[in-house]
Amino acid sequence: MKRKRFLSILLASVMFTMSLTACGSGETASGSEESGDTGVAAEANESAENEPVQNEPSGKSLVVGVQSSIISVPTVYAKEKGYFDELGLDVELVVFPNGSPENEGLAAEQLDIASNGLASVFSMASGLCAWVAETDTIGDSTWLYARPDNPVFEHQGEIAEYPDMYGNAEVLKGQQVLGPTSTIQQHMTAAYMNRFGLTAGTDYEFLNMDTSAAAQAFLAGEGDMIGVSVFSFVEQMENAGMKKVASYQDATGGEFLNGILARYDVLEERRQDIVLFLQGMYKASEELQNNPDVRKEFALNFYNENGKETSEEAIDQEIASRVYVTPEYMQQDDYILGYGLIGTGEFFASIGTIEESQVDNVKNAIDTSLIKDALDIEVKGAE
Amino acid sequence: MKKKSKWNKYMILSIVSLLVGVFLWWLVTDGLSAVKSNILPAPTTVVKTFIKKLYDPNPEGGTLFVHLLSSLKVALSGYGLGIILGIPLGIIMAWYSRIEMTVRPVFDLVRTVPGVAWIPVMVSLAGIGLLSKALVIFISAMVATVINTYSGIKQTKEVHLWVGQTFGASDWELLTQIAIPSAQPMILTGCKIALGSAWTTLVAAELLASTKGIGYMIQQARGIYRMDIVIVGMVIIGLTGAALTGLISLIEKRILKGGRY
Repeated sequence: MKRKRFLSILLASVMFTMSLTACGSGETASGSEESGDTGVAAEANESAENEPVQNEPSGKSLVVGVQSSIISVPTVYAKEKGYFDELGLDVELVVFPNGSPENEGLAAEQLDIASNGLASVFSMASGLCAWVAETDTIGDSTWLYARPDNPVFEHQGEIAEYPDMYGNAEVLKGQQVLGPTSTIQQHMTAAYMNRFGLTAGTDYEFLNMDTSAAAQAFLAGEGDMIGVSVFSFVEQMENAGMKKVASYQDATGGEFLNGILARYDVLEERRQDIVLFLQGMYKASEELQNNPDVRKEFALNFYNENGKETSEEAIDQEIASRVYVTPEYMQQDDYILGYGLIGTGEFFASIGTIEESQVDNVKNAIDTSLIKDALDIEVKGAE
Repeated sequence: MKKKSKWNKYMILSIVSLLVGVFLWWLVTDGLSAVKSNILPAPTTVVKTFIKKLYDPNPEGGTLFVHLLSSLKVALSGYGLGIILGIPLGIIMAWYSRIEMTVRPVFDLVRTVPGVAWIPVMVSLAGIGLLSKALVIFISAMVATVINTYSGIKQTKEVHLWVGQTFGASDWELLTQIAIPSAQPMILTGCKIALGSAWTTLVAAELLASTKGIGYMIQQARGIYRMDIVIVGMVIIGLTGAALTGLISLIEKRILKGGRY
């Protein structure tokens, strides 16, 4: 009797799980194929509905992940100015503190696209998203700082190609670097240390801390170095008398551009929405890039209203150093979409953060076709 | 004999329920592909990752053993401090009403503040090393210990105290020979609860500033979108917590006399 009861409960659990699965499968199927019903009429509707109509929005809301940083300013500006509405596109913005939760939002299918930075490489490596556009350069904003009395400043130019860079394997051993992990700061630190043959955990420590907490702790005397990636923190470090050890560009040997990630399934089902989004976003980028006063006012308000206290001086530096990617920018001969990400993917594979096999996913994720559809310009994609 | 066979039956039930849980997990992932693998990896993937993490420090810079040792150091430091201070504090608060009146308002204020909220304060006070993380865990552990110890002493049967008084026991003797022994079950329960609090606060404490630890491993894995490593971390936290709780239960059985366990 008891055995029968136990078996009944087990069977009921399995049936319940399968019923949930059937619901999930049904929704997935209807989302991707719209083939809940069969029949000629349904099939005709299905093919008509699935056929992407040029420059016509799908009618569904495009959910976009944004951050309170320069990466998302054009998107937010376009939304506020109504550029997406003019194109008939309904855009919903969701604010995130950084790229990691944006990746989670994309994976959970709560976001359709996201403006993201270095963390994008992990979404691309996992085969989830494509890199469809770029928004801004990092310019002169990303640095490794140390206290002026750090022995690292006794050694400059030990790597011939980077004469401005300080450092030496012996003095760097045992140092503690503060900053958030899975960000451009960690990449910069790992690449910098790698130049001297040093490995995280064994030769140096990278202490995972949110940038604000890291800055507070560093200025209070904790840690030996800090990685920063926005001008407000650069300003903080400069005002406190800290010195630059290396830039992102010197540490990694390359440039990095932030951009737009799009889920593959959204690309397949609602490509036209993403094309329209890019049209609206690049209209905003051009306007902001060509009108520094407008850019300054908007960015200052946007950052301060979203928890990133920024001074006017920091914004001035940002405007001087960080360029918004515009159609004109992309038409330069040396512009290559996704160049920084390929390098980042290869670097992370070399230190074991991602699998070697995943680098191909990163390469295959670079998609220049949406720029072509949105702006009618050909850009080279990184390979 | 009857008791042993009943216990064996319950043990089988526990194992079967765990297996059913794992089976259902497999069903929704690998079995029926109802959930994508990048959202919820299959149990087989998690097991493979678990085995790999035993010897491979990639991708976040440490093997499971290294991370676990670091977490145990932080958690047990805070936990140990919490029970060493919490048990005496609970006893004297319950026994001496003047001390209770003095300490209680501050304690009631502190106990409702979650451990995570203490993190910024601890960074400022104690820096970014082991001490600040251990202090965050200490506060969580101490609160649970004080509350249970206090309740245990307060629940001492009055008739037992009267008997003691009748036989001429001093206040100190009443406390040490009657109240504390009778409060032992509650005190040890408090130690178990404190251990749970310590473990749950551990992950938050390791978000603070860390280079090793299960919480750090989970945070790093989250950043590089390795949900399999996140789940391995969760499993390790669960298993270690269960093992430590089992250890306390063992100690409880040895120390306590006459209880039904």
